[in-house]
Amino acid sequence: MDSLNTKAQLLAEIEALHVRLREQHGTMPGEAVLSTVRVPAPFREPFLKAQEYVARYFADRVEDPTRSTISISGERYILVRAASMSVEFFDMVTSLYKDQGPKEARAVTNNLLFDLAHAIGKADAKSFHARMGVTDPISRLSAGPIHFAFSGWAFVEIHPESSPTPDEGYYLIYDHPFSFESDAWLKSGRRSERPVCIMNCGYSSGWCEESFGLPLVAAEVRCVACGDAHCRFIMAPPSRIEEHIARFHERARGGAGGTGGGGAPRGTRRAGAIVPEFFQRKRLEEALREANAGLEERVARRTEDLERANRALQTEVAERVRAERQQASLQRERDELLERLQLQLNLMPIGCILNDAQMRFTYRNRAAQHIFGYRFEEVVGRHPSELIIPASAQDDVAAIFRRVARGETVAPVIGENRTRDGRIIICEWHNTPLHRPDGEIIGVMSMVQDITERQQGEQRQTLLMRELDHRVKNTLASVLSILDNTVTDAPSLASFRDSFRGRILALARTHEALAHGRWSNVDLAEMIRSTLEPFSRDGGPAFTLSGPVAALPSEAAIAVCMSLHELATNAAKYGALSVPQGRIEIVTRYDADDAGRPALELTWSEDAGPAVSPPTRQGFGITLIHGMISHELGGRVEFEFPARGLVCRMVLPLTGREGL
Amino acid sequence: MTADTAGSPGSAPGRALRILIVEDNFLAACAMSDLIRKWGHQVVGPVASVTDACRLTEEGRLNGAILDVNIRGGSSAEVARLLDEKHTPFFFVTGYASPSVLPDPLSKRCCLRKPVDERVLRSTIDQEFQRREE
Repeated sequence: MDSLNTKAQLLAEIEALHVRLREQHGTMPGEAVLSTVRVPAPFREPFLKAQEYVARYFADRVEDPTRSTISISGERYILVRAASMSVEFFDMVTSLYKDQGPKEARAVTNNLLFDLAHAIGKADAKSFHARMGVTDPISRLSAGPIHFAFSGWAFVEIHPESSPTPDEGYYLIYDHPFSFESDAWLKSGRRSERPVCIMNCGYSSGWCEESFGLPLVAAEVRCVACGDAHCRFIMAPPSRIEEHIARFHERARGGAGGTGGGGAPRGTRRAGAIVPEFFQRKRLEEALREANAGLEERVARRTEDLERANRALQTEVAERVRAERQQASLQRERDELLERLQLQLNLMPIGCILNDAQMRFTYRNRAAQHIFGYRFEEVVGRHPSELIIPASAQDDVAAIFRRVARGETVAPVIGENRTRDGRIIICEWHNTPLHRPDGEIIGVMSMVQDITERQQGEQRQTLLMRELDHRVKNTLASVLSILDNTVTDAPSLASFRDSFRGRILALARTHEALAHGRWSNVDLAEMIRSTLEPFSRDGGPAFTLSGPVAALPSEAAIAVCMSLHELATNAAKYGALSVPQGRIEIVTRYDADDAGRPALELTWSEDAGPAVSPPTRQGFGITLIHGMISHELGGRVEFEFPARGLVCRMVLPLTGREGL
Repeated sequence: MTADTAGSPGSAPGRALRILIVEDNFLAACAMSDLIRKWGHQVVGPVASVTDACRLTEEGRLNGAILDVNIRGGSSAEVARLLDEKHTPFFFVTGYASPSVLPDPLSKRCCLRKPVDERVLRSTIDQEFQRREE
């Protein structure tokens, strides 16, 4: 073990002697010697250039203690005792932090020294890059180790397995022979448990970070202060540094050959403690920065999500407000339409009823209430058969409902209905099934009219038409009969013409009076005047009429008029009307007929005419009067023939006849 | 002019018949009576009431009857039923377009419309009354 250690020390010393030899020999003519740094062959050129430049830079050195300046190429420098920045600084901080333990003291020291050196390295690199006017990373790196050597920190030897690429793969492995820090520890006669070249780590990684524009840290994996042969460093991006350190120790354990074999057992022993906290801090900062960036990204994403959700919500709220407004407007429109419909239905003179599919009442308008007398509350939900269908019509109506429920549009139906107060009325119904668009029957709409009066009117009309027809035919039969009898009776054609004409006109006048009285009762006085008017003379009426006047049934009126016409005709030919002073008195009075029924007695008395005697033969006139009064009316006629004039007494039954 | 006044029997194509006339319109009754007498038949009536018509039907010896459907506002249906009981043939005359005032079985019976045509009246009398006598 000691022999191995001694061998390593001897090799180092030989190496150092080589360097001094080269320095003493000076530069060989025609060949530049790289004396202030040791680098792999490919890097030689830029480092030579840097060595020449830095040498020149440091050659221009002016010290003026009177002004307390040390000036190098115009840049002011300060001198610091190496021990005070290493072993003594460590002792002082340890004593300051002794109450918090050596671990905390070491952490403080390491952080402070590393950060300080890292900052100096970065600043020096920046200054030198500007002075040298270089841009590529290797050229920028080159001045660093040389500046290191000139400023008294350490000599740098870069190992060939280094791969300083400007990316995550950056890897630099190098030694610092003559590190001021380990030197200070050795000179103080102490050994350290842990590597001590903290400022070397900080300065070299700061320089390279600035040169490559890449965050870099360095760790010392072998240290002379710990008894190792070299102070050896690894530099890498913070995320990779531990991986490289672990691999270094792995290799050191496995291939404990010539290189650094002496430090291997202690390296293994110290493996767990080799990672300084400032690496962790750097890494934590990075992780924190990344986490921060991630957090910011997540926050940004989340914010975007929230904004999107917010926009969607606002859109939805706007939609809902619009929908609610639209619904309110539709509701208003619907209410207005319903109100108008209700108004129209209520003003309609025809009853309107709505039934559901089970034929129960769901609506009825005012006209329907008027027809049937039921209030809405009394009918709603009930079946028509309970209320307005009389027993006699139940079966027919049930059949109609069945047809309507099948969707048939039934022809208008006329039938009997019952009102609330029990009256039977006749109604005309129009029933229309109400379909939904899919064909389902949802009810029935019925229009109903009370046609009771109209039907009665129609019946009366029919009756009147039949009666008129009957009367016309009877009248024509009468005319034919009058014709036959007048012909039989007439002595000459002229006489026939007068008699026939007179009788037909009398019939016509009676009918006129009947039509005037609408074929019902006829005013007797008016009728007598009208019948006798053709027989009036210039000197005024030859008739007096006294006594009560009755309204006669139409048959009696015809009979009386025809009779009075015959009497007047006879009087004009043979009686009172054949002389200017002749007069006729008509007297009526109420009486009873032979059967004791109420009757009207009418007496025709002629006066001041030619003397009369009973006729020798009965002409058609007398036959007609007998026939009319006795046969047709069931009355009685008597004739008297006193000398002063004919008297005819008729008894006309006022009742006792069926009908009319 | 009385109900018993006989026409000339020689003018009838068959034997002389006794025919009851029930007609409340006097002029129509006159006209019909005159024609029937002219054809050599004997007129019973004319009468204008259901009571008189039924009385004469009961007395019998009728070969036929002519009934106005409406007599003094009533119907001659009662007379018609009595005539059917006595197996006496009859027919109706009416001024109405349809004999709807008659109860159902009677509304199917022979019915002449007023004013009655002379030839229709004569042929109806011959068909309805002479045939029944055979």
